[in-house]
Amino acid sequence: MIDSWLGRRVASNLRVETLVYWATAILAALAILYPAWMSVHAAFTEGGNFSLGGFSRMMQHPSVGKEIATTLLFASGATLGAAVIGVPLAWINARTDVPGRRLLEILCVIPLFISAFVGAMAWRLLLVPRAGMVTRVLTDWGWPPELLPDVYSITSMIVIQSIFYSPFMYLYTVASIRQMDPSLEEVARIHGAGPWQTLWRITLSINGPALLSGMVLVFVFTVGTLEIPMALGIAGGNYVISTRIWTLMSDYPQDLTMAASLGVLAVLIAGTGIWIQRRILGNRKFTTVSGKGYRARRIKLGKWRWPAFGLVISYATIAVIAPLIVLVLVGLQKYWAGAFRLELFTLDNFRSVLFEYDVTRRAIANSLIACTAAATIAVFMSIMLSQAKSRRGEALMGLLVLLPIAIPGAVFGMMVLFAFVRTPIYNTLYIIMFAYVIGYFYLAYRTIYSVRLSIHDELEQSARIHGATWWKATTRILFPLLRPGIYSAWLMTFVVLVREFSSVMFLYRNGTEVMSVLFFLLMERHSARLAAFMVIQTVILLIVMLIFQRLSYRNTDTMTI
Amino acid sequence: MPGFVEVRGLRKRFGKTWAVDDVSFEVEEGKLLVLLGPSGCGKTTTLRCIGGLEQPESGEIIINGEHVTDVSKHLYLQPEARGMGMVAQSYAIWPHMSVFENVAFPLQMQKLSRQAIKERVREALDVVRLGDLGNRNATELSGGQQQRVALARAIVGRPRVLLFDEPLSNLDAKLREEMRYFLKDIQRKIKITAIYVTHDQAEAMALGHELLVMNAGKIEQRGSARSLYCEPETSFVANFIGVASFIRARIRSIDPDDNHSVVVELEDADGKSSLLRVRSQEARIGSNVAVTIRPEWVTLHTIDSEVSGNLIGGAVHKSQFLGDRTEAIVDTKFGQMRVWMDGLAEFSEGEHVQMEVDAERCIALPVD
Repeated sequence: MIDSWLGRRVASNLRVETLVYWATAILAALAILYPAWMSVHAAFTEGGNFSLGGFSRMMQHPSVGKEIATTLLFASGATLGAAVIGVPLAWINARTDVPGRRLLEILCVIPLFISAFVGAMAWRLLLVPRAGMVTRVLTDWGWPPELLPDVYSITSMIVIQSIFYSPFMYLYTVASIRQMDPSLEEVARIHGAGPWQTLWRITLSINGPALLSGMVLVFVFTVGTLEIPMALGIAGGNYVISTRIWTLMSDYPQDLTMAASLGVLAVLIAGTGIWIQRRILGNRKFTTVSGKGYRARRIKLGKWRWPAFGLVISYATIAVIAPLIVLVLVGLQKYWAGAFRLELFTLDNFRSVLFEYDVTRRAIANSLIACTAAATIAVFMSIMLSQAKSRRGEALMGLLVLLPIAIPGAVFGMMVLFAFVRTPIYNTLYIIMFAYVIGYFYLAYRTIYSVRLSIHDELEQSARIHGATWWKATTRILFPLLRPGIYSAWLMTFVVLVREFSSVMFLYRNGTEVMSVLFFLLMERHSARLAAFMVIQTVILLIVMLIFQRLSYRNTDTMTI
Repeated sequence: MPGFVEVRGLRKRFGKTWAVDDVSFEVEEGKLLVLLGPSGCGKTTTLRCIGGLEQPESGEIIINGEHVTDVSKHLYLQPEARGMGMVAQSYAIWPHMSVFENVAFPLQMQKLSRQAIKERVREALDVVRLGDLGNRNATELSGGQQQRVALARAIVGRPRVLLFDEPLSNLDAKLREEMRYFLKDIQRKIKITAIYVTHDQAEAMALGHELLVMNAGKIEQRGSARSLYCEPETSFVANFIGVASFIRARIRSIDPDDNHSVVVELEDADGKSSLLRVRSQEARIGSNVAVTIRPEWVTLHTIDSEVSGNLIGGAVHKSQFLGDRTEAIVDTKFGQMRVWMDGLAEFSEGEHVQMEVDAERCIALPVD
């Protein structure tokens, strides 16, 4: 009697958590697949009939061919660039005795907390012909004007994109290098390999899979980004697929079918990147066979210690310090005259952005509301989804996590627009929240899932055995144990959402502008006020970052992106 | 005769502590020397200094008459220029290479021809009995197999010296014993000069031509397994190698015919004393000693049996049957002693006993 009664209880409780998991998973799957389907549908339909018109117009378009080539160049250039920057930084911080490591580790991830759009605008202020701060100084020193870097060129776009996306490379590589048993390198040295051979044949090769994952991520991000292409590309006449899609969607006459077709193409390009990565990797995962408790021995740089330190600091200067300084300076001027002038000093820009100017105040409020809500929902979803216990569940999760990563940001924005264009949530902040959650919940999911993996099922089970219901066990046992993961997942997601630009550009309407969108809208107007506004966003992000750092200092490199 | 490997006055500091503090020794060509000691005793650091992975603060390291480290001349040869082979504690098998590629690596570094590499790798894999696993991915192998790959890789380049850094400590007990014989076989067969670091005394005794016991950065004693066991010079060595009980005593007299045979006086808490004949290396009448008694150097007798000489009385505190032997912890007036006897011997707990101490083996060590 008691047995069967117990059996029933357990069975019914199990059903609760399975139900919660599957309900969340199916909702999440629909939320991705429905927009994807709607835009594929849009790409092949015109006037209600099947049509390849979008594609044929794409082929005949006078500049799309060049734009595709530019996209490929931009994305592969930025991918390589991010690797060239991020990997040495990771190696220096993870494997050498460079001085001031704690500071350097923070500096290397800060660019993640600054919008690339903001960075690009700051560099525009520094390098713009004639009026740029750096250009002026260089010209004064007699630097030939024809040798000045052109901030609107494709090269500049690639370099700046590389700088602001290298933290992704850094984070992937640093985690992997840190997990590597240093004996693997030492044994190579003993058996006759010099330091460079060891670096190439052992260190970089073993960490190859992590490097490749980071690179593919940067590639897909870059294919779908609107930030730098909008901030620098349009002015320089360098259109890429994402800017073309945006133009087709927003300029008169609209061509939605062709935009959708280009979206399909962009997904194919991103997919090719992922496919190449999988091809190279195969099933190899170089799980390092590590001995128990090896000491993390660091390579002694000797006389190279300070040059290495200098290298990291110069990266931080270019990526963080210089842009912030220029924005603060410009923000403190009545108008920007190409250099800081004491007589033009004013706090009005900050005051008006924060307290007087309706649009900016609204945008700050919109951003805070939408990002807070979306980060919270994303974290809750991730907790539910991280309960996947069956193989089928995990396979589904793999797909759910992969899809939003594989869809370039601008294309994703377009997809969500297609999905909701005739529903009441179109024109509201909800559509932006929806895009935030679905486009980025994988960030929260990855962090929470990795923490979840480290929590033994037995902890929850024993709570159940001692009489807790599923809900009690989840809230009293699982949530507290997940707490560190929850905090960092939430903060991480929040930060990325506040920066998010490429997808919201398709979804905002008058009244639902968020901060990043407003940067673009104000771009050509009042540069001093815009600078003040950007400083405010950056300060918000940096505060969140400091909290994040506090909460998870000990594992900054485990924040998974 | 100078050794093939010579270490002179080696000192290495980590922060404020001297991990290796004035260590000197030499290894003859073709011999295997074991550095034995508890963790943190400096044995691994010594090995790493020899391999060039650490820079010592002072000292010289000479291989085959050639300096590879000479701090006074600021000479630190890079690891790759020392001509060594190494088996690391974690095996350090490169996960992105096949077994063949792992073993071929040292030869590629020596820029041998493709053909020569093929032959030599095959040879080395045969030596470690992994002949047919060359194409396997290194990570697919079991722990014991990885261990052998690491060994093949270490010997394939015909290094002048082979370094072992606790190579067996990650294996389970049974495999460890098997690999012990295997390693010994190979070293004895190819007669390579080797330095072997371990904290496992059984491993050290089985493998080494000679053992060097280290403690707190210094050498405690050097010698064969037999001499370290039977003639420990310090109580640290007596305690670290094998099991021993210690009783404090004072030397009363020295045998006029054999100055290694002494009578010591034990004193209990009440000030009553009893006498015991034991051995001593450098005896001085009146000096304080610790009498070192190994569990098998004692024979247990019931209280009513008639035995004479060299006895300590006590009561069995605990006794447990271990199959091949029975171990008893005996309370005496001078402290607890551990005694091993025949597996079938029966003493009940609390029983009063007499312990007959082997005067030829038990040894009085000086205490400070």
